[in-house]
Amino acid sequence: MSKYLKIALALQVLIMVSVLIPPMITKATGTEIFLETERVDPRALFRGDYVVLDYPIGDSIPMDLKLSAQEKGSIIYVKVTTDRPAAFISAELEKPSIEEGTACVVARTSEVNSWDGTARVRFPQISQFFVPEGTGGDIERDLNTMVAKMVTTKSCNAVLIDLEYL
Amino acid sequence: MGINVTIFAMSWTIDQALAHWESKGLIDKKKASELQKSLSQADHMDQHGMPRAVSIFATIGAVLVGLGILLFIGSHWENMIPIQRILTVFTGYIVIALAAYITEKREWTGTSEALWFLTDIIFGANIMLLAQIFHYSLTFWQGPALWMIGTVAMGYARQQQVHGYLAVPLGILALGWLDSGSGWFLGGQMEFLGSSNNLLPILSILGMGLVSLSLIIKMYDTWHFLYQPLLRWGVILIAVPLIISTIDSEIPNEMYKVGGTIKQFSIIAIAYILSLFAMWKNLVERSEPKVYMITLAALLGVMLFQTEGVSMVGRLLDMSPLMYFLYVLVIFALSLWGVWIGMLVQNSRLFNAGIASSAIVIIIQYFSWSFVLLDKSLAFILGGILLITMTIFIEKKRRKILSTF
Repeated sequence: MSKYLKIALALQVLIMVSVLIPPMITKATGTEIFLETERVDPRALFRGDYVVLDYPIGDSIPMDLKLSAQEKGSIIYVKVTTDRPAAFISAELEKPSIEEGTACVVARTSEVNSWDGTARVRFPQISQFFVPEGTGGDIERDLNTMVAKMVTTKSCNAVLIDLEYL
Repeated sequence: MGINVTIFAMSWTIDQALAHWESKGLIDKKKASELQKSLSQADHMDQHGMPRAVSIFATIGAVLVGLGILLFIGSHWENMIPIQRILTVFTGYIVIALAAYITEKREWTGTSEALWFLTDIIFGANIMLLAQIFHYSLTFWQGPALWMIGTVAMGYARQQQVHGYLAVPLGILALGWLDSGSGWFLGGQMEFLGSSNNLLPILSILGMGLVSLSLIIKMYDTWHFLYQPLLRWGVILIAVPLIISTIDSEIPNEMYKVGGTIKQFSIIAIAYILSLFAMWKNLVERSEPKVYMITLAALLGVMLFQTEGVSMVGRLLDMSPLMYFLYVLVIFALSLWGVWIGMLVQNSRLFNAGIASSAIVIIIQYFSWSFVLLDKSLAFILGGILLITMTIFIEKKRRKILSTF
């Protein structure tokens, strides 16, 4: 086996391992929070069935902040409580300070309605929950009575763990 | 050299070539007979010393096995706990890499190269499956980026173009998914082909960058496996958006609206820097292709000039039918010019791309106008006749011209 082939194989293995490390660190060191969920559906290009998650907590973000984030291409840091379900505390374009009993997640302005100038946000890190094939429909029906269990770090990186009934 | 041999083989049979050399006095009758005999006793080998059919079938086989494994894992995935999933993906990778190594040791070159390619596919699938365990975002751009890095490393180690053909679109996908994912259209996975804030308005410029990069890479023997993949994907990215923009006058206005993101400006800057570097280093030797590249770069740049949040040229084309007609003519002229440049530099790929582009532009214009001016049934009949006539003409002329390369 040539030297370059050994390097290529080692690099590929290293890359696969590296995909596992950040979420494991987040899970090991992060704070557990529960966000209320709402809605929807289909199928990933590479990875099978998933449920698209939306979080009503996004509606608490002031409209001018959503529009400002869209204009600047910035992400929005949403600070919440660690209650079950979590309650909205604040939203800003800078990373917030995280005290005991609080946590944060990142959001992005996704759609601006050109008719009335309103905007919606998505939470890209926690917006898809992968499910066994064919079970997406059942979960989708119950989403309004569920919370998403996740772990977030102080830098607001989040890893989705599970969906649970309230 | 390899390209010329391929073109040559496409245009001449062995008997024709031997008769030609004999008539030119390059070989005598005895030598011609010896050469013919030697070929009849040998298998048809490609430049790597393996039957071409073996390589093709083995590669298709590798892709099928890869898809099969993915589907199998996908359908049994939900019954496994995370640690079992992690072990499964790593075991699959090790088994395939081991099989590739063993077949290489036994000198089954075609099969072994196909299995090394399968290692790439399994490697990429594993990245996506591992990401799925942790519910990573659908537009997890690091996924295709890491897959591309691993594939390029394997291509470098194996010196096979097939890895390059996989690596280039993965790079494009990674760029598309970077800073993407507002959620619409398959969870944002295809957003990069439809959003003014993403790759859509700059696809052709990205293609120009890839073509320039291919010329730069050609200078380095060890990176040669990426030359053809970069060139071909680059030409596709340049041609397809330009051709699509000739379908309707509203399309350029929509397509060339630039959101003005940092990613877009970075890609535009890098593509132009690569093109300038390729010119400065004289990587395009003849003046004609240079002029072609400069014209193309200028046209693509002008299309991106923005006024009041839309493309200046796009709006003009949308408002003025005459200007749009001239625009379509320019795109058609560029396609024909591509054919001419392909002939000048004796590059069959560029020649064929030019022929295909100009033919598609003609067909698009035929259907755009005929439905307005003709009865629909007549339009279909005439369209069919036009297509068949064009096919015969292109096939005859193309073969004749290619045989002169």
